[in-house]
Order: sequence, then C-alpha cells, then structure tokens
Amino acid sequence: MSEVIESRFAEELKAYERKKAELLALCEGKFAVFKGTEFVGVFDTPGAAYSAGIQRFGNDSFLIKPVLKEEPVERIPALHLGLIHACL
Amino acid sequence: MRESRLCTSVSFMPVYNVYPQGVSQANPPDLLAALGLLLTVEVSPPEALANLLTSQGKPLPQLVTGSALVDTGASCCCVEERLLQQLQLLPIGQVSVSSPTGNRLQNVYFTRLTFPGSPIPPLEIPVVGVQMNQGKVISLIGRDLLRHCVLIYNGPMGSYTISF
Repeated sequence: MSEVIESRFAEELKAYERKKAELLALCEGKFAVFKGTEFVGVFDTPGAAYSAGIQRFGNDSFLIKPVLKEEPVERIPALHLGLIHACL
Repeated sequence: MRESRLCTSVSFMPVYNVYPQGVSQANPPDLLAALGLLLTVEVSPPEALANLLTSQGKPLPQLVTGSALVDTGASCCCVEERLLQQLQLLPIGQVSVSSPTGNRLQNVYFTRLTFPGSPIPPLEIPVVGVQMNQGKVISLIGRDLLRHCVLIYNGPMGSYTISF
C-alpha cells in the first residue's frame, strides 16, 4: 500500500488555495513552492522549483504545486488493472 | 543573377534500436510481445539533492538500476515508490490517479532518470510513486516523456526504435 498520508500537504494546499486566483492570473502553468503556510515563490520548471526548495529547506518536505485551473487526473491503466503483472 | 538557395536547419534525433533479451530460444517477435518495450533505467537523487548531501558530508544513496517499461497507456512516468524512498527522496506533491474504485492520491517525487545506452538524455522530472512489486520493472515511461520521442514498434522484427 502507498504510504500516502492524505493530509501530508494539507497546510500547503490551503495556502495555495488562498493564493490560487492571484497565481492563476499571473503565472498559470508555472510551479509554486509552499512550505507550511509560507509561499516561497513561483518557478518556470519543476527542476527550478525543486532546487529552490532544497536550497531553502534542505531535504525536508515542501510542496511544488503546478499552477493550474483544474487538477489533473493521471491514468495508469497497466497498474490499476493489473496488466503489468500479465504475461502472454 | 545571383542564385539563392534555401537553407534549412536540420535537427537530428539519435535513434536507438532495441531488441529485447530474455529466453534465448524465444523468437524476437514473441519475446517483444511478452516482455513489452523495455529500457534499462537508473534512478538516482536529483543533482540539487546530491549536491546538498555532498556538502553536508553525507553519503549519496546508491542509484537503483532496473527496467523501465514504455507504456503508451500511462499518462505520466512512474517509479516504484519503495525505491524512491530508499533514495531518501521526499514527496513534492500528490496527484489523483484514476482507478476502478475511484481516484486515489499518490505521492509525486522529483527524481533523476538515466537511460544508459539510449538517446534519451538524463532527465530530472516529477514522477508518480507507485506500487508495482514487479521486481525487474521499476518504472513506467508514460506519455509525458513520450511526447518528446518518436517510437516505432516493429512487431514482425521483434524490435522497437526510439528517438528523443
């Protein structure tokens, strides 16, 4: 089972929601970094956002949030249908 | 009259032909059909984290080598989550992943993927941490990466060609 903790980024996501309209207007498609309630900044690429987060917080948890109108839903059918375990 | 010639810049995409290896007596088309499009992959911490650990005098985690399955059905790249955690990576976010029982949240990690011997350069990208429990296959190459590739599946020859 995944070690996903539903509330892992709860605080960061709340901070993002508070800023979302402003971020969408100014920098849709870019990557915002949050740590707790702190907004660190917006970056062009996930790599730049990651480097900024690592420089600021070290190898500690922080959120990199793509600034998007709608949250994407990823599809990995081979995994959830168990096809990756299939063999001819 | 001076003759002018139209000059165009040409960009070359290195081509990598892959012949699956496995059971020696199996013929290539059967082998490709059974194994799928596999590439060797190395998963390691991103440069920023590696530099941080080095500056702190901490040892770098051993990179993890395995197979990546090219999966045109997957919308994103995935890596076995247990291995990402082994590399001391922490999640940088979460994403909804569709499943038969509804959407579920999976952790997203920022990691470095290297594909030795292939034209795909080392990449530092977000990947979804998943539970594959597949042993050799530790990663899926999804359409977020394939959008940069040309991919040809040659079933009768039992090979595939990828360029980036």
